[in-house]
Amino acid sequence: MTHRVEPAVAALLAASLLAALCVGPLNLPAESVGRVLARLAGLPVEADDRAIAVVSALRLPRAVLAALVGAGLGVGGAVMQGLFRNALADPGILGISGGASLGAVSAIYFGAASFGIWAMPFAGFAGGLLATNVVSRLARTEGRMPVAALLLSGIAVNAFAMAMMGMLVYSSDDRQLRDITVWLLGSLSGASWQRVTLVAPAVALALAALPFLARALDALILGEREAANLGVRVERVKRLAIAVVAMATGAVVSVAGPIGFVGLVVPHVVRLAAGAGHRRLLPLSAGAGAALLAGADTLARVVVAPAELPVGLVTAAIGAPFFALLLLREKARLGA
Amino acid sequence: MIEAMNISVARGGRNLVEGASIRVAAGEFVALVGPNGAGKSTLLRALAGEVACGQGEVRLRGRDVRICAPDWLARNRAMMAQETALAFEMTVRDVVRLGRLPHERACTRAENDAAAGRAMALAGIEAFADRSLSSLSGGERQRVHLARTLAQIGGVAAPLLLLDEPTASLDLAHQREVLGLARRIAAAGAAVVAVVHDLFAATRHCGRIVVMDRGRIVRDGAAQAALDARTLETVFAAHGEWVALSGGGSALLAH
Repeated sequence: MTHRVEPAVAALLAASLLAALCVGPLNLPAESVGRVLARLAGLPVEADDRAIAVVSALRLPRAVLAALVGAGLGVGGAVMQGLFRNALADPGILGISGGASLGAVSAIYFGAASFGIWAMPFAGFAGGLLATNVVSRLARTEGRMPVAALLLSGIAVNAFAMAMMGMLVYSSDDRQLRDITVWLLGSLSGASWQRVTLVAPAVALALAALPFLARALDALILGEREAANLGVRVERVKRLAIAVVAMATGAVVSVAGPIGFVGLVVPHVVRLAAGAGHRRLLPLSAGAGAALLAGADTLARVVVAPAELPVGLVTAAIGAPFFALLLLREKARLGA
Repeated sequence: MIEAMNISVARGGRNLVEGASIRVAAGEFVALVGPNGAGKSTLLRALAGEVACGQGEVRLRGRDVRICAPDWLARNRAMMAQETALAFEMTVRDVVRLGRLPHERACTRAENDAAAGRAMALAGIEAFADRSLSSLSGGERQRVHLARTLAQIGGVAAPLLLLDEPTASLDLAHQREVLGLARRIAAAGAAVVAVVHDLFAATRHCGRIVVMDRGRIVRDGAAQAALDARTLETVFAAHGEWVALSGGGSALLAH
């Protein structure tokens, strides 16, 4: 069964992307979407102008953004779980989500949003990187970053970011309050090709780093000491992993808000299906995260149409019970 | 091949190893014995290049183990720790295959798979190669980690093999098997240093015994000479008798 995971994830991703392009206020048949895609790819195919407009300007950038965000969160979670040797780690563990949220909320509060569409993503991205930088510095002793120290520093920075956000929320006016609240729920409603171009390089960079991380993370399953004995430069791996995850998660949170549970649940589920080996786990987590978020976002657009739900609510509403179910199953298997 | 020169290792202001010098040549199988807290594991870790020496240095094939490239070190010495806890479930085969990590660039996948297979055969764990490590008993798991350690030095000429209590949770038959295996690996050209608590097993299988007490090496030599009556009494607070073994040689019964 473990060998069929890759095709299954690929099929799931294709299906959820197709659904994202077909479903909406204007329902398009798959065949029509196919024509539009072929046309956009420059093939001489007849396609409906309205369908072209809807797909190319609205649904395609949104589907691509959803997939990028999901891939970034999925792979970020898988890397962090490997680094912390703990299935409860998620991409936000090093204060990245907290910092990025504080950055974006500050941008709303101080009206930076009026400086153009790049202001908020930029503030969020900068906040995430700053938070990770602080966490790494706090945790560093004698050139090493013990994971326990990283974890505690991450908690401290996240808590501080929460407190600062609380202050901003507390002193916001009603309109700011609404903007902040909606942003913090996590949403892809602002999707555009510009946002895609903001996130794509960061996620691509993270994916490109995976071959350098996979076997080192495998060795870390045995522990840092064993990994070092196998010739792995553990501290170097930590720095690379943290940099990569900070980039990807910072970019993702800055455009989509803090979307919970994807980074936690996806690697966990993939590990159950395909095993703990990171050469499969990392790319599969990216693919499964992309499929999950593209699917969840489509749901978010249609369940309360003509309004739409924040996708963060959908992922948490699906993710939490699913996670609980997994825990129950594992508990039964471990007999504990 | 491996040489520690007057090394001291301190932790928390206390010297765990103090002024220890030891030299092990290819083909030797050395048992490191001593009471709890004597510094055996720390000395082993210093030989492995895992911990820094506050004083003195350790050289493997003439290279300082704290300065040489980690991947070179990983290809020339392997160390089996007392305990290894996996963060996630893995199959026995995948765990053993991790031992080939330092060789993955130089050898093909098939070569590495074959080396892992040979290591599993040596450790006698082929029967549960595809089982999850967590489903095995403590003794079986210990043999899996032994196999991983052997996989790491598979195909290496005259490697250094360091074993920290490789027989701790093994039954009698497997103790004998593992120490016999270590002896054969030494005979094939490796330098092997093992921490062994059971003096009978140590004297039976190892030609050379190094006795440690309170961080210092107090005796180093052939079994009968190293574990004389005085050493037994002062270091282990024990008495012992040497018994002749039916297959030749003798071993120490301490009580």
